[in-house]
Amino acid sequence: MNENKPIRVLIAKIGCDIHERGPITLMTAFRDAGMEVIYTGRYATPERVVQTAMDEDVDIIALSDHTGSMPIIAESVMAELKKNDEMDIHVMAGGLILPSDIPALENMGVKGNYGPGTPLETIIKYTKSLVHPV
Amino acid sequence: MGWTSPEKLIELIESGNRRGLSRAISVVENQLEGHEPLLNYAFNKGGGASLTLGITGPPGVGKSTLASALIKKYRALKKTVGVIAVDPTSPYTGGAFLGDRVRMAEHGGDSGVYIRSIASRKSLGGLSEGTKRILYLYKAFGFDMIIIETVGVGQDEIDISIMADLTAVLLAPGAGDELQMSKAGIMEVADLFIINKSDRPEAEKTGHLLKSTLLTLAKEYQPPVINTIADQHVGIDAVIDAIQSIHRKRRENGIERYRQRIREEIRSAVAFRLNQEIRNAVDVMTDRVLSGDITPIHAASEICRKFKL
Ligand SMILES: Nc1nc2c(ncn2[C@@H]2O[C@H](COP(=O)(O)OP(=O)(O)OP(=O)(O)O)[C@@H](O)[C@H]2O)c(=O)[nH]1
Ligand SMILES: [Mg+2]
Repeated sequence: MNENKPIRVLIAKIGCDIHERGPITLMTAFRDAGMEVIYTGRYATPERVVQTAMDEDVDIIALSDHTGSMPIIAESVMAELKKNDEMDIHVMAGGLILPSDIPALENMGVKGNYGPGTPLETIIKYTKSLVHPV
Repeated sequence: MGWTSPEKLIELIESGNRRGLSRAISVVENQLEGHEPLLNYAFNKGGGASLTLGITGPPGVGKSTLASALIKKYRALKKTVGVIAVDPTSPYTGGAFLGDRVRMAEHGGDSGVYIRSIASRKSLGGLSEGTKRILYLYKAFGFDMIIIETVGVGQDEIDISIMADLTAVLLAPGAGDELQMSKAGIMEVADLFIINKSDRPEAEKTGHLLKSTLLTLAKEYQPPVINTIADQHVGIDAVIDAIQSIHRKRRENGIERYRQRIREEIRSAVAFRLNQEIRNAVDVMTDRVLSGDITPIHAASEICRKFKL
């Protein structure tokens, strides 16, 4: 992949989670780190998220959820990616993630799994390393 | 989808595969391997049936909301729609928040609508080179209707008016707009003025002011002024009617416009490359001046010599 190509991220919010502060903070942080950031808006479906990721040709889907249902959300997104043969789009997760859910998420191939209070620099650095492994 | 050859991407585009189009866009936008054959294919294929509408205007005036309302109407007419939604790149970080598609979310599940969010990534001012290249791909893909949304800040309107078949300039009700207009030369590029947010007071007044400003143009060049309330789908039929009638008239002097477009395209592609080269040369020379090797005057003439000027 070309190093000069900006990283494109889709920030996705699935289901009836109304909290927008997390994704908005993340959008700003990603943008300020030189990335091109797209947002699904609230109430997206897994099918819609994956379709948008394909249409926008993003490198990463960043799932945001504050309702505690990340494993269910992530599972449906991963299934949809598999169905479309798009497994090389990275999936990251953040928000209200229960520590007990992390092993299952990692098992599915979901990366990051950042809980509340994770420093933004940590997230940015990891995101960049996903697309441009050193 | 992994690396895909230009031949394969062309095959995908020919079969109407959106993923192929989507990847091809990244290839031409970033000038990745294979972008030239893709662009040559797209240029040769052309897009005779497509109509390209530019929508421009100040931030937050309702461009995306209007685009979404137009898409709805065009879909009801069974026309396929491709949208290029351009948002500004931050000049400081190179990053961008591409927020337009949130306002068009209702079309997200429609296979007849393709929306791509593009960062302006501008280096010379005006529409990015990427946007122009992407437009070729859209035409080759064969959308009936192509909409390009850009924020109007000076040069962009002029560029968009060359690339698009027709350009709608959006304004919001309120004082000062008419001043801005005569200053930025928007009057010359607008084929159509839309006063959006006409649910607000002063909409009518702004319309009158605008029309009286336009009286300075010869009658046949006076663009129509239409009031809309985009988020309530008010005035959209009038916009569509105006687009059709302007487009019909336009066909008559189509050859001259086409010539102008091709000229601009060649000019801007060359300017883009030259600018890159010059920037690199300037960087090298800057280092040499700073290390006391030569003076800035020498540096400049050396660069000119390099480019045979
Ligand atoms: N009152 C009113 N609000 C509107 C109208 N059209 C759009 N809006 C609102 O104006 C805001 C901005 O609309 P957008 O469509 O995002 O505007 P935009 O010009 O695309 O904005 P940028 O792409 O950020 O420059 C949104 O909150 C819309 O709901 C209208 O006719 N009346
Ligand atoms: Mg917009």
